[in-house]
Amino acid sequence: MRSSEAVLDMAEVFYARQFVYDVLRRFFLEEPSRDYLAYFVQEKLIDLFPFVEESEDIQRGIAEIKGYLSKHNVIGNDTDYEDLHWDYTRLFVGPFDLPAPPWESVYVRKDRLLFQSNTVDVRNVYLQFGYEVEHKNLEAEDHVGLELDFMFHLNDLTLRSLKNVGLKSKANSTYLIKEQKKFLEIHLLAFISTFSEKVIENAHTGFFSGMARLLRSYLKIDAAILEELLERDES
Amino acid sequence: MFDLMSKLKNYKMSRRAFVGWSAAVTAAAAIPVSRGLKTKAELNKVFAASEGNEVWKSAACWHNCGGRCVNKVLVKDNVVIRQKTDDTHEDSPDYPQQRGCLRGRSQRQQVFGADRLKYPMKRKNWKPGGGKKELRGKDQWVRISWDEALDIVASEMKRIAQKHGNNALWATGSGEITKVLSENGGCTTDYGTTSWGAWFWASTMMGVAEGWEELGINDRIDLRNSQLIVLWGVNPAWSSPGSPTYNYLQAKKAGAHFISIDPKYTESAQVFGADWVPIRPGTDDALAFGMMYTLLDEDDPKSNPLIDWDFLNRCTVGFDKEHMPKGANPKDNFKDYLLGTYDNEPKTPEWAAEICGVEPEKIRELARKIGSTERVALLTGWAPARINNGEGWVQAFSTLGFMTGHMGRSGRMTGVSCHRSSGNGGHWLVNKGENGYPQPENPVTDSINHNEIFPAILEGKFHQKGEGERKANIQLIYHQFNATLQTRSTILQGIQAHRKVEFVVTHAYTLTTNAKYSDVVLPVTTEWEREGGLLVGNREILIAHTNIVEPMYEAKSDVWIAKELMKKLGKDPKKLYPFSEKQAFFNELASSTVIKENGKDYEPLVGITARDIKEWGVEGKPQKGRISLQEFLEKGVYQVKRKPGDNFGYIAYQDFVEKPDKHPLETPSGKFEIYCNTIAEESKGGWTEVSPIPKYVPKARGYEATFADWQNKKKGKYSFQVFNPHYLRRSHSTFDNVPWLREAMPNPVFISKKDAKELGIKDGDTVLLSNEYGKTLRPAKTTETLMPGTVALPHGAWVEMDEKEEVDKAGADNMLTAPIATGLGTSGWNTVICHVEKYQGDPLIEDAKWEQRIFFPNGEV
Repeated sequence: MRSSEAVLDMAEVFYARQFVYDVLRRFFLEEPSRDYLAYFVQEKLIDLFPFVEESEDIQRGIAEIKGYLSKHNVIGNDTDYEDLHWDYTRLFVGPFDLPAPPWESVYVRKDRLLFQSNTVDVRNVYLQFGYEVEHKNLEAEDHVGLELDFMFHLNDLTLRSLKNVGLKSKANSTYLIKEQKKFLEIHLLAFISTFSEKVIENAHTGFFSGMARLLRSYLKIDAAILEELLERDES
Repeated sequence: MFDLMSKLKNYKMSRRAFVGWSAAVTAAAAIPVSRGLKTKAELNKVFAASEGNEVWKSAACWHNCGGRCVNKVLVKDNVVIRQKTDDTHEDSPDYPQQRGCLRGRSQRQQVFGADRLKYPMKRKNWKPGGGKKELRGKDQWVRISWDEALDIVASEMKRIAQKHGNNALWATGSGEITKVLSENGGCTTDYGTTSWGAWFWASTMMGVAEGWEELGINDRIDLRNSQLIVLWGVNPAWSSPGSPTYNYLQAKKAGAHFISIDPKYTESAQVFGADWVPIRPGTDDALAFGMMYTLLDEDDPKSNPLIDWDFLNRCTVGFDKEHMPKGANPKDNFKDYLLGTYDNEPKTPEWAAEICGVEPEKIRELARKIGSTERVALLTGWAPARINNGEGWVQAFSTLGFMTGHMGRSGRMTGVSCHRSSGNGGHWLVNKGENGYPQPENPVTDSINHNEIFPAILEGKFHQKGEGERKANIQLIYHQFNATLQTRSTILQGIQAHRKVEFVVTHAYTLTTNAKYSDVVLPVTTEWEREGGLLVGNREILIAHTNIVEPMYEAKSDVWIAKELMKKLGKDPKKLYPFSEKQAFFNELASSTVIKENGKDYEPLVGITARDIKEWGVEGKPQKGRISLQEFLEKGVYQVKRKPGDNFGYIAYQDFVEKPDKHPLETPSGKFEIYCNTIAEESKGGWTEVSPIPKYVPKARGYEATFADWQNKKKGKYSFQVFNPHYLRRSHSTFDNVPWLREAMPNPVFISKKDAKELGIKDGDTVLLSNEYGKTLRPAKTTETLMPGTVALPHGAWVEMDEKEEVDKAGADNMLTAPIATGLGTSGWNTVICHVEKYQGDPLIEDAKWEQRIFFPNGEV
């Protein structure tokens, strides 16, 4: 009984993580789509964001996002939607100077070049789990959105693994958790605080500055969560 | 410890939240994530990291910098981790390596920079016909698919051609899109004197080589026979990087003395230990006239022979009244012009000194040295001729060569020595082949001089050369392969013109100035992402570069874009591109040739086997060649090995000078034409009339124009002359975005110490340069090695307008260039005038620290 209860508790964490990574990956991977935005706003998904009490920064981020959405009708008003869309484009796509380039390489490499060893390291981690970008060189793999997407997928694999009972399954989920922790620490956490700071400084919308706060603060919490899950696992 | 379990229990992570999270994700799963990771099709093939070997590949250094070098990259696991240059053979003066410069070695920063233009994008407010055109350059942008981008471009082409006619479409410069439009009714084109300045047309009309196709100087090994080398506006250290500076150094080692005539004491002058003769831009002709007057004044065939009368008599027409071409008025001879026989103005050194700023005694000394030294190389770059009314300078410089007879003989030469032939004249020893793609004819004849393109858009008319005024109604600008808005005259007018037309589209790999002011930008691949290609450089080499990486982001080649547009326009792309880009590269390789040992005939360069053809998947025939295909591509270069006394030397005009009657030049008289009727006649269909003989005329925006009252020497509103040295941070405008180069070369405006003191300007102060065409800012670099009264503003910086769109912060040279064509259509990049003052606004921060079109996190080196 006790063990199945624990599994359920753990599963809750993975569902929380699944939710967070889904939101973050969608808003950092590409321009907000009308469909997802409508769903996000109408279903008040922001209210489901977990660990709010853990971080003032998360609280502030949520307040910024809610504040922005209360003043801008991004679903019904085209101009409001386009302004939000443009905020993503100008921050992360171009064509003008990028105030917050979304690639790990830019922050961790002295020469700030893309498609160097850092990008390839990330590419190889993806390949290890059978993931890749749609075609070679379409995007540098260390794009923040792809790294978040990867975390989403690994978390998803973990959830699936947990649904099966058995030694092999447990070993597998432990492995997956370890890999997530490793990837988070080596890659995302290596640049996310500088990156988020740039987004917060330069975003024209409270929506993206708020998202950046959620991003940087949640990833720190996530590292602690993964660590604890592993400790529990070992004990 | 995070104490997760207690949080899960205590917090609102109740059943509600749990249900909410999973429901949210499940429902959202129906909304696609289009740019996320995909599941790999073949799971069995796991990554190949650390399997890959390191391999050196030949990579393109493709820019128009004036040099050409070998560039190699070390590729490991698909990543370019290092670069190097030529080490294919030992370096020696006779057989030098083709070594790269700081720009070539920064090439990775271009290709892999975060500031690549990665996706097709459109301006948010764009609509068919324009849509808030005034927002070009500052509108919001939206990333779009290739299909949408090409649909927009093709439909605007069709719509505008139908509405206004095909001459409303202007494809700038030349490239693949000119071909596409030529197949679809044609387009307006543009032309001008570009790098050549007045050498572009005037030179060949009088029988003199223009300096690219035809070369008027001897080869580098013969240069070692010169005793005196005059560098007249020649600075290979900045303008022809690679091996050229080394060519001159060998002449220096062989004992040659160097003189540098230039507004700036150049890096080359330092290297060669040259005597520096400072001169004002656009007044070189005055100096030449003063020198020629001295020669005439002091020459005594017996006691003081300074003039080669035999050369003048045998090889030229027009020097004196006894040697005029048929039909010319004898009074219009050059000698009487020099002496002032009819205009009462002898072109004495004193007369010249007032204009050019060189002391009369110095002028005489120069004339005596050149006239009395046995073997002289009189070398000029194109720069002194990149001036308005520059034809007279080309005529005068050449005539100085005729008078002193320093032509057509060993150690003696007079001509253009720059770009690919700097210090090394002669026909190509290796010829680049042809790709075999057809070149369709453009049915539209409207062709607009560079100086009139933007006025033509704004005012609706232009001067069709040789004909007269034509109406213009340009409504579509297609930037296919150039930096038109950056490198033609008068950028502010250009921006206005870009905001007037109905549609602007640009191919680019970074956000160039052209791209910035467009409606649609199409990301193109760099040469590193293409099949490969060949590059010409100095006469002894041919460079082969190969594919380094697959196309990055959504970038495509220009040929791919051209093909897709053909389809959208309802045409068969095979008409222009009957075969693949790989086949095109193969064709180039197969048809390249190299000179035989006899120094006369050519044979195929590249040896190709049946197996090569099969491996490449192309059509072709096996052939024998000097170097195997594989070796050529691996080495990246074929270089003809030279040594003194070989059959590959070159003495310009030798046959003609030896036997003018047997080897006539392609002029009406068959000789060098000091009196050149062709120039005078052609200029009547041009902009201003050019005299058939060399004559001094004040330049449209020259030294005289800096005065309000020339007679009393009272300076005017724009009291400084501006000229534009080529600068090692860039190749024209290319590379200006590269961080390493920005740091190494800060791009100041150079001001003489004397002027700086008078204006209260210190090193590093922000300086405002302004005239009626624009305003631009730069940090000052004060120097004693610059002609006072002039400022040197390096060529090619990417314009960066301030928020009010009044002042450019980047020091873009063409903020100040006047849209004036003169003579045969010559542009005046080195005859520009402006006002100089210490800037009263916020001082500039160093370019290297700009968050320009690339961004860097703070606190890193």
